[in-house]
Amino acid sequence: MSKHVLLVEDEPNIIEAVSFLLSRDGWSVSTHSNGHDAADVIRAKQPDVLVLDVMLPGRSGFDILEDIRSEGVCRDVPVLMLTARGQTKDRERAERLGATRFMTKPFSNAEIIETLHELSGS
Amino acid sequence: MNLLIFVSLGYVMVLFIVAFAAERAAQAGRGKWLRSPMIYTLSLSIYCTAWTFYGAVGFAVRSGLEFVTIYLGPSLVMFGWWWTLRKLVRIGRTQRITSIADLISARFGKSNLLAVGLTLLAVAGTTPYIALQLQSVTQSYAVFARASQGGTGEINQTVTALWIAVGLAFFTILFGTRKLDVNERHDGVVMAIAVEAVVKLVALLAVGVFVVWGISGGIAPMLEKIDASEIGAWEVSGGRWAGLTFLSAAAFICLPRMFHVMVVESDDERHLRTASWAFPAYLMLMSLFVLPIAVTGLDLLPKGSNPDMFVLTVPLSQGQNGLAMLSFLGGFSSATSMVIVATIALSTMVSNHIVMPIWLSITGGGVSVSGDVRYVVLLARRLSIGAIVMLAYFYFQLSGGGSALAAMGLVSFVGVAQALPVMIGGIFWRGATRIGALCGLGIGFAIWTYALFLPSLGNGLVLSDTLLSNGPWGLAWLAPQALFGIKGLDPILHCLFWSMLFNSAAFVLVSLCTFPAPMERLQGAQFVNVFQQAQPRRGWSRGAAQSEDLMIMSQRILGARDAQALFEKEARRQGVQGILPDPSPEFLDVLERKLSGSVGAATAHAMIGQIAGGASVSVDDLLAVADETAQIMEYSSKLEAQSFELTRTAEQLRHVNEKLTQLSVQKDGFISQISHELRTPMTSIRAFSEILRDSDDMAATDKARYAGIIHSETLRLTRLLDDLLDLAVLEAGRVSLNLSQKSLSEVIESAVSSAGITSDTDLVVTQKGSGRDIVLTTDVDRLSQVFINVISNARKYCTADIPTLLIKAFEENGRVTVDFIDNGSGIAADMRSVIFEKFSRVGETQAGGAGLGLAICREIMHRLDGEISYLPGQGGGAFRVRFPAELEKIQQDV
Amino acid sequence: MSEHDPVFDAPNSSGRLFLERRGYRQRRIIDAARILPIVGLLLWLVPLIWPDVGEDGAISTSQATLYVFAIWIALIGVGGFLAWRMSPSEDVSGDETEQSQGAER
Repeated sequence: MSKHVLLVEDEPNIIEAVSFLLSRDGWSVSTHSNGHDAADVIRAKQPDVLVLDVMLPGRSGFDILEDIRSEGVCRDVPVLMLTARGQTKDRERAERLGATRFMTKPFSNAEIIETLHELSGS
Repeated sequence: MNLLIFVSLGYVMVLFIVAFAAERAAQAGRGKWLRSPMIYTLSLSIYCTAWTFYGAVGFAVRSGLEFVTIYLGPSLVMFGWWWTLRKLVRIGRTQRITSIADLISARFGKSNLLAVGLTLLAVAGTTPYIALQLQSVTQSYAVFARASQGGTGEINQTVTALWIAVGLAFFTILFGTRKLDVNERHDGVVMAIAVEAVVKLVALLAVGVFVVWGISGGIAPMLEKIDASEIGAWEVSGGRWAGLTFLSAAAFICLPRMFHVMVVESDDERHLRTASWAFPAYLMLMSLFVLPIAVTGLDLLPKGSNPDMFVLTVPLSQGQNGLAMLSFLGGFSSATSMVIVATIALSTMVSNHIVMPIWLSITGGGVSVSGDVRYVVLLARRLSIGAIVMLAYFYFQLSGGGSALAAMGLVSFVGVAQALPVMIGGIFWRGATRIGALCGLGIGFAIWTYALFLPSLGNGLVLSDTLLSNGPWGLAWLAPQALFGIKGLDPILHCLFWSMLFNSAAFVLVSLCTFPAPMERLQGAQFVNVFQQAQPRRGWSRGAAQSEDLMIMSQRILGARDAQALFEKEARRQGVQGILPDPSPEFLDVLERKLSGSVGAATAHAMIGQIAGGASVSVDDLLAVADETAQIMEYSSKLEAQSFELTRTAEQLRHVNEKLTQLSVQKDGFISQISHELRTPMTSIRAFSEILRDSDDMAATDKARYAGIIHSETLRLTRLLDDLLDLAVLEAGRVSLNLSQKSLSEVIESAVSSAGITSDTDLVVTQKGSGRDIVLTTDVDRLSQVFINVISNARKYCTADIPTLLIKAFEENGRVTVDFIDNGSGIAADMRSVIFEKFSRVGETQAGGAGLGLAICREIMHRLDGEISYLPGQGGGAFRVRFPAELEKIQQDV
Repeated sequence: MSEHDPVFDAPNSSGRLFLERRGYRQRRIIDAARILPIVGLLLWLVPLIWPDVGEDGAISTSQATLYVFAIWIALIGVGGFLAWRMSPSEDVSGDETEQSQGAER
């Protein structure tokens, strides 16, 4: 059975690229593109792996991460955080909040697929 | 007959042209000479009405030299300008007084009750006087008509009077209510009145010269003739001589129309200095030939001729038709100028003190609802002008022209003179209180009505004959014209004496016994000590007032442009960024006075009170008022100036600091912002190019699609880099401007279409404003770039159901202002200060664009020697772009 | 705008005792302007004590007219002279006497 990955990201082109890559690699992919209700969606979908962008409209990826880590069914889901800002303090913050991995855009396609395999343990 | 109509219409036409030209000149800023001391002096001549022009001769025929007292009083007041008028004019200017009712109401704590009472008094006292003018013009017209047609053509007096009334109302409305702020003055009207002043003087002098040298053969024979006539002996009653001098002096200050030209229309206090001798000279010349004309009339004309018309009938009887025509125009001028100014003054009072308060209370707390109050005010003034003239017309009909002209004038004088004790007390005595003023005025007004006004309407009309002779209920000591059993006194003197006595006594005694409210004490100090410049004016406590609400309200009364200018000026003075100043007590004072120039002190106070919230005077303020000596005042004013300077500096520092903190946060974010903006498209490009590189078995459509995405993302990157470079160049000031000429409307049109607005786009664009025809000399492309940016922002962010964008353009002093106002939700107050910073986006809408647009606009406008700012209080998002119409010229001037 | 006397002007005190010559002149002109209407009033009240018709020395209307107008012209002349001499730069507000009077209540 294919693993389920949820991609929370607001740039439509990036969504398209990553979904294409992952589904070709055999993942079942679902996406969500705003920050307001992202935490609820994540809890509802219970993905095997979560890919979370930092700059989201409505609510930042950090807040969402903090939220899902604090309570509910997704406390332990592996999270890959993506950011385009590329500053060390973002990385530190992500780690402190419990992100499993942290990746700076732009990334190589091989890199993201490899990381996700690692996270899902397959 | 036809000639007469033709000449009067022609004369009116000339007045129209004069008034119109004066207004134009004043608007174009060429009106300096319109405001010379001489024009001011001539405008005072509305004191000389048709009563003076025709009636003085009649007065002289009846009572000899006594007529001259009517001019001696005003002359004395003018000679004594240093005592009273100077103070009145100064108070009028500093407090932005709009009428005599406004003055007294403002003095006694901005009491609206007083204002209403005085307005009624003024209307009651002035209506007979206006009726008198209608009557005299009608009479003179009839005299002329009879003479020129050999007595056959009796004209219909009712119809003539009606036509004159309608014409006067029309002229007054046209020139008296063009502008709202009465303090801005009526240049057209004042100019027309000055011309009329000259005409009436010349006319009377011409008749006089003709009578003395043409008929009597010189000065010496004339004097002999005077002594030989039936008024040749000095038999003036001392009481009337002194009483009428006092009465005319009092009326001169208190007549609403005199107050209007003397105080409200006054442009410069120094004009008083010239008028102090020039106006008595005018009066002297006006009365110089009155006795000769009276004596000659008695001599030449048949017994029983109306002496009030001698000025006209004497030249006519000698076949001097041209001279008679001139004299007719003189009388016509006297009547029209009086009616025009009197109705302007009265209508101001009625609209400010009666209509506006009622309207405000009917519309409830609606001060901050949007809409323009100015139309209400103007409409109220126009209607009241019409109503007052018509009232006078009906009074004229009612009284049927029965009483002699002079008597009616004096009745009016006694009525308005009732305001004298309160007014003089108000500006010289700080102990005068509102209750005292109400009592004094009430009693004075009541006595006047009972003892003079009602009896003057004619026996039996309102008061029955028995009541007149025996008093009400048989109480003889209450008989209207013999109060307290003092009989045989001249009715005017009788009423003047008793009304003034009781009026002043009530005013003083009640003032002594009552205690003034805080507001009254504050205002009292301001009025009495008006020449002490350093006044602690703390009318309002800092508090709940919201600048934006104030702005919305002021816009409705002053008009958007003036209100914005006022707020902006204050914001600059306070050292605050943007257009909204802090609602400091000082600012509220300034605003209140500005508003009271439009709607009167009481109304303005109420309106601001509604927004700023109740208690306006604190105990501290009163203490400050209570123990002021000249020395403390001076010292504290210096301290105040220093502390103001400090406060201002601190305020500026605070703002700079706030801004720096914000900037540092933004600077910090700047790098990560750029990083984000560059990396995001880069991510898509990298991902898709790798996909294309690594997969051979893709469908051609997919391939094309992904290549397309890569392409558009590179374009996005390029655009971003362009913007960044543009901004860098602009910020460094290295940009070169390409000046060219283009009309503003063309620039707007092309910007609208470049922003992608077509007739079927969802944004409706409307344009208005007078400034769109201006031809600009500036960097048109850069300007257009700004417009496009603002318009596309409106298109992107306007959230209304039917989004509309209003573009308003106007020009002032070579600077063009273009406002872009949409009907969306606008920009939250806390965001307004950062929207022009780089990478600041409002809200969370992902509308493309990196948030550099407005930053670029700001830089461009800076280069074009202009500015772009957010315009609050428009009911939607609004941006104001301002720049010089001709860039080069202004840069050279600097 | 107002007079400054280097010798007699004590800073921060409104109770200046002496003014320089020009300021002194201005003050006296203002005094004259204050008195003018009072003089005019008194002169114009003189007719009240004139004898009535029929008594000895009754005044004819022409004499009365000449008297009233002569005073009028004289007052206008004096008023004009005072207005002319009152220096145009003198701010009409700047008279300290008025201030101390105004504050006495």
